[in-house]
Amino acid sequence: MNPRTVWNVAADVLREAVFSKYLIVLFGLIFLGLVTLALALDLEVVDGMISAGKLFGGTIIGGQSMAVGELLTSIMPVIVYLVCFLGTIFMIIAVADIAPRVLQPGRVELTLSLPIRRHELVAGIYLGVLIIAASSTLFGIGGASMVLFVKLKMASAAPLVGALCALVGFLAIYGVMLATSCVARSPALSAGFGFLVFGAGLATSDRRLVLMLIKSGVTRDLAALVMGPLPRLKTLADIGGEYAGGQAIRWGEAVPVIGGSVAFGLFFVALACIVVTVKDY
Amino acid sequence: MTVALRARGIEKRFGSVRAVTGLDLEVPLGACFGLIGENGAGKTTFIKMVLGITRPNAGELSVLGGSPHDVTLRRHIGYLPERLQIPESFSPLRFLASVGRVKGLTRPQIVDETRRVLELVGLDPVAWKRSTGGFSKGMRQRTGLAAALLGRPKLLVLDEPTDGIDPLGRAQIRDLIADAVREGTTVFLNSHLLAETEKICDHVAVLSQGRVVVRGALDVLKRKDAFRVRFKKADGDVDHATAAGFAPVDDLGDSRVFKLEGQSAEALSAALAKALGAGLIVLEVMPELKDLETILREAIVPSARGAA
Ligand SMILES: Nc1ncnc2c1ncn2[C@@H]1O[C@H](COP(=O)(O)OP(=O)(O)O)[C@@H](O)[C@H]1O
Ligand SMILES: [Mg+2]
Repeated sequence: MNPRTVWNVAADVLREAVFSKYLIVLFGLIFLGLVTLALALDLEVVDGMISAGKLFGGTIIGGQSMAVGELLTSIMPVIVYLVCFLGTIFMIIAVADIAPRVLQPGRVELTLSLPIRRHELVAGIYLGVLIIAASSTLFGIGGASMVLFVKLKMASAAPLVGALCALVGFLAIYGVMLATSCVARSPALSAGFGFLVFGAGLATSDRRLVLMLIKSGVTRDLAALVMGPLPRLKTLADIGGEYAGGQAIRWGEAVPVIGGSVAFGLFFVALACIVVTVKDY
Repeated sequence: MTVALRARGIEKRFGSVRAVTGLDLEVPLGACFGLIGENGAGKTTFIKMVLGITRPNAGELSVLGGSPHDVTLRRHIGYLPERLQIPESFSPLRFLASVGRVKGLTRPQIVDETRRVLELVGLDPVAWKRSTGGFSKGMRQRTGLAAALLGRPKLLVLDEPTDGIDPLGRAQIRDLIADAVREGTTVFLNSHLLAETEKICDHVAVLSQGRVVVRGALDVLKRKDAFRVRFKKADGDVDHATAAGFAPVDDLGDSRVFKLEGQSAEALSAALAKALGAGLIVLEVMPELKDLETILREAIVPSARGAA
């Protein structure tokens, strides 16, 4: 694999996103989301104490006033979940049509006639999309941090943690989406499989609970087998939420989840490489 | 290496459809080779196999002396796909830069080459920086052609190059293909347009139902089994000419056209000597030529019958 070629492909994916004003729309949407959050989150902060808090009009902090420090433990995990889950959903939708477009008939033929190996093309798309996902998330968390800073008058790592969790999960999810696009060049199908992995990844985090619901037997063994390698996305957000709430990171659990997610993603990228390599265009 | 492209026994099936069956072909280095045949004959499928985009089920292919899957050789190949899709947000300059980078051109080379090829294909400079999304079919085709010409490839593979281009533009593209051939580039093109191919190419192969039915140098293929001679009109000219072995074909007023069957130069010289001896005056001698359409019709009809 020639890293230069991979980078050339990734850079073209980025250029296309930039010049199609697609990234601008993407960033605009993120910005709108942030403004909505800022308007919806209504906190009254007096001398480091929060007397009242409302999100979308619903009271989340009421009655007694609360120290900002205390708030962190209660509201920060929520922010981590929000950023992580909404961010993931957003990314799945935002990048679903990139690979099908690069692989579209009339275009892929020219690309394949150039000095590019097929696995370099696949790796380049994966890299390019991850850069788009990472940069849009960074933009998003930058904004979210700002909202919190203005409202709380103190900085918080929660949005960053949420974004990192989303990105780790997205490594795995986009692997499947890319493999799907290589089999059938359809954005809808690609996004569909992305959501499937996302949902399954959330469910897998509570696999014991899920398995308990299934009667013992073949079905249960099968479910255990399927859930085994899936990235435990909710566990990741849980750990992130705890960290943002002031607790220590449970590295013992975080490392296998992160490693598993990366391995899962790369496995599907490898699968996509094989599909593209054996396919006729 | 004297052969730019060699195919031996190439087979390609799509399910039950046999797109290409037992195709043998040789493209001499420096030739302008036209692969012709009706829609669905298997031309595009063959080109895709030449470029390693599609794999044959059987047979051997050698391109510029190597395998179609040799990535380093692709630097020397320029390709215009049949229905090229250029990223809509890209301008021609950006699109060509992207192709140039992958082909390993340096930044200054990209700047120079991009200018050269865009001028060559005659794309209006005001369009160079505009996004191709709003381009007409012809403008897009020219941009694709420019991409194929980028970096002066040794082998130029063009799938229906004049598709969607107006008659004036076609002549322009014929000229630039001829220029490329003069510079030593081997051109392999696909077309269902006979008159076009006849004007550009020096070698042709006719593909019908996935099989080559006619192949060879165009000037040999076009030769009919006869000569045409034009004599000045004179008293008893028809009798003298007929006595020498010629048959009258046409009356042009002050001259008459006769025909001599056969291809032997000796027979022609003998017949001419006899006619000249009888006092006839020769204005013109030429081999009788078929056009590509006739060649194609003659080639396809018997083979189609044979297949049925
Ligand atoms: N990917 C494909 N799947 C199935 N059939 C195909 C495919 N590509 C080409 N064919 C079939 O192979 C035959 C040759 O097609 P093609 O090479 O495109 O012809 P041409 O370029 O001469 O018009 C046609 O019958 C076409 O329908
Ligand atoms: Mg075709």
